[in-house]
Amino acid sequence: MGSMAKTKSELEKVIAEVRDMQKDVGKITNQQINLNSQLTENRLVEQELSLLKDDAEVFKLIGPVLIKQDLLEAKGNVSKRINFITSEMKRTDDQMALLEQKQETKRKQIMDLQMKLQEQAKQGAVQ
Amino acid sequence: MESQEGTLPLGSLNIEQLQNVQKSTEQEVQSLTEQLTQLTTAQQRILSSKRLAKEFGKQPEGKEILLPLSGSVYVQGKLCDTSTAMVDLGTGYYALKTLEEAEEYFQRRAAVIKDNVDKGTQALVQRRQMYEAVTSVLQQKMAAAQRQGAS
Repeated sequence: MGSMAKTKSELEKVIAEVRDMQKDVGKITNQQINLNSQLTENRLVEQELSLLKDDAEVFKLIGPVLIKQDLLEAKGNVSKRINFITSEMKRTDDQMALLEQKQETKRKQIMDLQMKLQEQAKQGAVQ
Repeated sequence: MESQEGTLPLGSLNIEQLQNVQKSTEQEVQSLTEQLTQLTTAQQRILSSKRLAKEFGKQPEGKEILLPLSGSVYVQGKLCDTSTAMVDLGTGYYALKTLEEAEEYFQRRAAVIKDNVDKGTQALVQRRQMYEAVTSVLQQKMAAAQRQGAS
């Protein structure tokens, strides 16, 4: 019985780990959704800026005031931000892939442990 | 019914699987509906901005107006330029545009949103059909299981 209790507590531990991982997956998914909508918005802005005439007046809202900005500078800033968002997306994708891998190993572990538990239960019944 | 769903042979799933599919489809229907409501509000906001930009051009210069400094304090002002407007491009950027340009801009934005609304509506109709199909197959299976249990 002692070995069975040990297997059980081990199994519970692994299940808890998987649950934590699922929480992380949820967090990352939210980040991905956020990044995606930011990317879409920035792309729209980039497109609009590119449609403006070269001498168009562009302003940036900083707190409650509009500050005049150079069009080229604004374009540069937006494309820099798009680069940043894209690299962040790549990072979250990698994180997600890693997490899935880990989850997969843990799931296998759970199955092994469950099998072990069944064996032990059978042995216990025979004895 | 199943053949309409293409690759998914609903009849081959068991009751538990069907319930899972039903649940996830229901969630999809819900989130799509929410998205569509949001899109429609955005669409209305943009179309009213477009209409206002047009109206603004018809106002005579020098017309007296009240400017809101906050929600409860207004100061007197006079229109001195009714040919341009500051337009929000998103992510904190604004551009000074002529009213015609502003209208065109809102038109472009509205078109993008309309595109999304159309796509969303299509997806929603599809998901709803899927939901109904799953529900009916599920009911059939449950009824069959009951009959088996009874006999």
